[in-house]
Amino acid sequence: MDDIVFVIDITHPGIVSLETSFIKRMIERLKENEPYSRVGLVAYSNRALPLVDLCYDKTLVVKTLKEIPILQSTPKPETGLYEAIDMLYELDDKLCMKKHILLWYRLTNKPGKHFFELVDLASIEGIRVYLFTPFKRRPKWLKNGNLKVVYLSESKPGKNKSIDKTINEIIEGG
Amino acid sequence: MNNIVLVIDVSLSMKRSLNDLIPSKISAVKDALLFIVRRAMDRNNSLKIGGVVFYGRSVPILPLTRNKNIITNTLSRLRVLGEGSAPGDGLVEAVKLLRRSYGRKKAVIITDAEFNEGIPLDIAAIYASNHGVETDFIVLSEQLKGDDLYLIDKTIRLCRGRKYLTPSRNEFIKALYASLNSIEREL
Repeated sequence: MDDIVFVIDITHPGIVSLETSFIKRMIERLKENEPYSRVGLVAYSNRALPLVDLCYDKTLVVKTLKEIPILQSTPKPETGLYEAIDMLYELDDKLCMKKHILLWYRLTNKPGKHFFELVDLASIEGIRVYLFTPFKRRPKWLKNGNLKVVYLSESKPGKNKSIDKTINEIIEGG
Repeated sequence: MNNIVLVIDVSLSMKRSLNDLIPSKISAVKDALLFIVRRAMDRNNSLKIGGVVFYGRSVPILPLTRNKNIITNTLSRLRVLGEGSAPGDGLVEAVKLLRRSYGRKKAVIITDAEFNEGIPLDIAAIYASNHGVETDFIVLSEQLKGDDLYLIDKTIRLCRGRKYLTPSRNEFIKALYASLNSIEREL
């Protein structure tokens, strides 16, 4: 019984397809193994766009993913992160065991100054933040701290073993 | 329980008058709201009212409540706040006010259109639709054109809402009354 909020970057079609395939795969796994987990969805471009509040209806997230347009602008992941923390905090039903934020970011530029403060805030609230990125080159400003960075290949997301490993880690808490 | 959030445009253009909506659109809206909201609450014992205002950004001004004094005090202080018009932000804020409530949920957006900022209205509409928030528009204008018309039509289609064009005080009052009372009738 976990609460999971997906925070997706909608500024570039390349990353949107990666995000979509990962989320669909994760939702399939959740439906099989964790039917009582709740999922939420937040998109961001240069601002946050909440789309699905935490709910048990996992198909709603998949359905919504199909409707989201690309909004080209400079991505501001801190806005999406803030919205996700707010969602987990405000809709906390005191039943969930673990809370996760799965945030996608292309690491194209350094996020706003509050990004890492928000990651620390999430940690204090018991929320684990994963940062998914297709770029292996690690920028200097990216510090680990409370952030778990996961590299995903853009070429063959369906065949990437690290996706399954990461999903297992999130679902099973391994 | 029926829940309605009034999403009110307080951008600079609301300072102008339109036909008999004088001395300004915002003051005509305020007068009508003070009158109609009380009546709607008297008619419907399970109606809760909340409020959000928007210009270039949005601000929640009234949590969902049945307390008529709080509603009256809040609405009587409505005024123009600034430049820009971001109804998408207003709608998102309205859904957030409604998301923990039970029963029917509706957002009534009162605006003179000319949308130019913030979260795209059609994306905010996805959020509202996902949470079963019906969305009506009461537009203080003679006609709608271009993007405004497209965005409003798309939003009401997604959110099973209605659009009212109200270029006069009389039509505004009728539309407001119809919108607030339809939540009861459609049960």
